[in-house]
Amino acid sequence: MASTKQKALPETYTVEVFRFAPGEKKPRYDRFEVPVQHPGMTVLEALLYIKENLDPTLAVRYSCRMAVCGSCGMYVNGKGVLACHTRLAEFPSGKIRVSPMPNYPVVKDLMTDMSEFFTHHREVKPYIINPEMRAEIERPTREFLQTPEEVEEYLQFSYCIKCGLCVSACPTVASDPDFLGPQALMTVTRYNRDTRDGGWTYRLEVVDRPHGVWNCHFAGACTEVCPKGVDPALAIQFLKREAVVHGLGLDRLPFWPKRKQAPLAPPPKPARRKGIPAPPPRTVPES
Amino acid sequence: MREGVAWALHLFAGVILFFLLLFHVTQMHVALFPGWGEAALEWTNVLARAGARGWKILYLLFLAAALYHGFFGLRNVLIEISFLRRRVNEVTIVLSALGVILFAYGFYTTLATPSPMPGLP
Repeated sequence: MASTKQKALPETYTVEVFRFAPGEKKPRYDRFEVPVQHPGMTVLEALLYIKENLDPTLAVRYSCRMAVCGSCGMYVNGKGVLACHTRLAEFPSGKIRVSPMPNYPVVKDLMTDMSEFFTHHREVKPYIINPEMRAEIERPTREFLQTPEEVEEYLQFSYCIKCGLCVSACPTVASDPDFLGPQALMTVTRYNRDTRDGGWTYRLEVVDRPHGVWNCHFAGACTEVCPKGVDPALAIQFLKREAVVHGLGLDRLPFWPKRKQAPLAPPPKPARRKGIPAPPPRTVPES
Repeated sequence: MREGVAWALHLFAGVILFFLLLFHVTQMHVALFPGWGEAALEWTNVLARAGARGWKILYLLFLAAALYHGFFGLRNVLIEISFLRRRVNEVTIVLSALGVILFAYGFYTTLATPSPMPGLP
């Protein structure tokens, strides 16, 4: 019979933290002893303990502490994780080594410069574009109707929190810094598969070029590291198929399945019942 | 040409190469196995094949597929991992020119072989 007794956690963790500041020639690792304050203590809490009690110069980026904002991506013992979502208990040896995400320039200590990441993200227009429904998109009056199956087409890709771990794990980004990267490419699939969107040709132009979608070698490291369970490698394969089909003109053949366009919901029925007076006229002019 | 179309052709050329290589190996090297097709390797038969129209078409296709597949792959490697990363157009033009020259040379060599070869039955 297997024992249900859990192995006791060390009372203190040895935390080696990557240190680097602008102007310094070489980075180094500083070692800190961090007492475990509760069984669910996370790596981020350990880092904040260091910052508050041992070394206030430690630079670490964080915000929500609940794996939603994507600010605290870093490497712990060589593995890409969200520090707020990784418990010390996952490392029973009592020793961890924390490093900033590779493939990004280091600003200071564990903080990396994400500007290139967001440049690529913005480049693919990560929002609904619908030239035919522009007025409705900008000033919504009704909802677009999508079946649950149509939502499933892109739902998992919309879980991305832009932590940047996929880009840090990507071997192609390591060898080709101009590569758009898994996050931006996955975002293209997320919006191109959305039936409310009409900007897919623009996005295909952006990715169907050198250093675009074709540089992906399908290593799968992005999917492996994603803390939200998104599968960017799959999204990129979808995107390759879409680019080839569009490039060869297959989607213009009469028998090829056409893209669906989400219809607008019918106008709501007047909710006002008889006998109820109309609202007073606007006091603020409509802009 | 769109990058996606070029990439699809790269894959297509790879598939063609697979089958042509299989055909080439079974025709030219199968004699490695005792009792199998030694006659195919006799010099007169090699020359006869070189002069046959079907074989010429086959080898021109082989040459085109191999050159495209090889040079497109080389281009991708160069623009991904070398100092030529931001010189995509220059790399593409140089490698395309090299490919066309090599194809022209192979085309000339293939067509220059008389068809059928003189002196052969």
